[in-house]
Amino acid sequence: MNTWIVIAAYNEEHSIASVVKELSKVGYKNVVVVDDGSSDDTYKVAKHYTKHVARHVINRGQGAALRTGIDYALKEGADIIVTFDADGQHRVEDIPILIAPVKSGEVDVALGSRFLKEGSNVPLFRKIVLKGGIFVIWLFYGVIITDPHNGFRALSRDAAEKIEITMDRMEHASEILSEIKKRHLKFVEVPVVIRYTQYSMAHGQSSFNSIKIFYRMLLHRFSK
Amino acid sequence: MMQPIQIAALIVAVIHLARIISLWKNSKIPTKAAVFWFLIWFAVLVIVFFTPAIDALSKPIGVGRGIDLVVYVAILGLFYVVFQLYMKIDKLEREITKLVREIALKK
Repeated sequence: MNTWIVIAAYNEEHSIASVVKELSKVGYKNVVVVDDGSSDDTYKVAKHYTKHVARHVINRGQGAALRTGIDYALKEGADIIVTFDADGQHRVEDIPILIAPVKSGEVDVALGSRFLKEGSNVPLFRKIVLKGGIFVIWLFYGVIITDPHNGFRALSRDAAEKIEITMDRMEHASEILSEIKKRHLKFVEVPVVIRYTQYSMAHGQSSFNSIKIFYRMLLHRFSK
Repeated sequence: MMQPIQIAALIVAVIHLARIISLWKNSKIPTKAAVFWFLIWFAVLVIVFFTPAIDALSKPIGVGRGIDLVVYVAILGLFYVVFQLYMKIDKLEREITKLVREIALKK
């Protein structure tokens, strides 16, 4: 089966090389990096390690970048698409576990969850914010997910074609869940480990950004 | 006898009306927009000169002073305009994203 890894990268010149290298070391050669209008050398660095690099001329947000990457992978004939973060917070060794249920045809989508594993290393404040997110997702879409804003996912080709991401920024994570529900896709949550390094904490989402995300979800709901 | 606030409102309204007319004459703004903004500022003129009439209008609907009614309506109008702008920007953003994604996949 043709597995493609999709990475959305925005100003990640310091981590993108090691992430792509790590992937290729364990045999994932089909890696598409979408440089989301970075102002640093993300594009150049990525180009050096994989031939599949798409570039947004201006920054449009992670949702838009993932969509571009998914379209790219679909065009290349991907059977399974894995979305992976550019800052090194996901572990390559979790990929086989994540894609297994998709590969076997058991489900259409596998979602990584950092809360399913015993002794997870999530910082307390972040935990509270993420739990609040779970409640909001349930309120909006009626699905209960232990970790809605985890960017580590595996999609079957069929699911990737069906899921429509229209929100450009971080709200896409919630939107994917609503699409899963709307399109009656089968999904499972798979325990994964998130590496909270100093780098990924500094580069990732601030917990306070969750307020902005919630606000935009509300607006989106009413402007449809 | 006109109050100072009436004179101020009058001056502001006249300046804006003159500006709208000149912009429209030089085809800097479309006729539709010109008519819209002209009516807005014309309404300000009407309010300045016919304050008692506005009072007469507001009393029956339970608003004590005419000027309060004007403020309420103005705030509602502003909300409407903000919402329209939000929708427009949202649409523009989507279109920009569409363009950016197409360009990225073409290469």
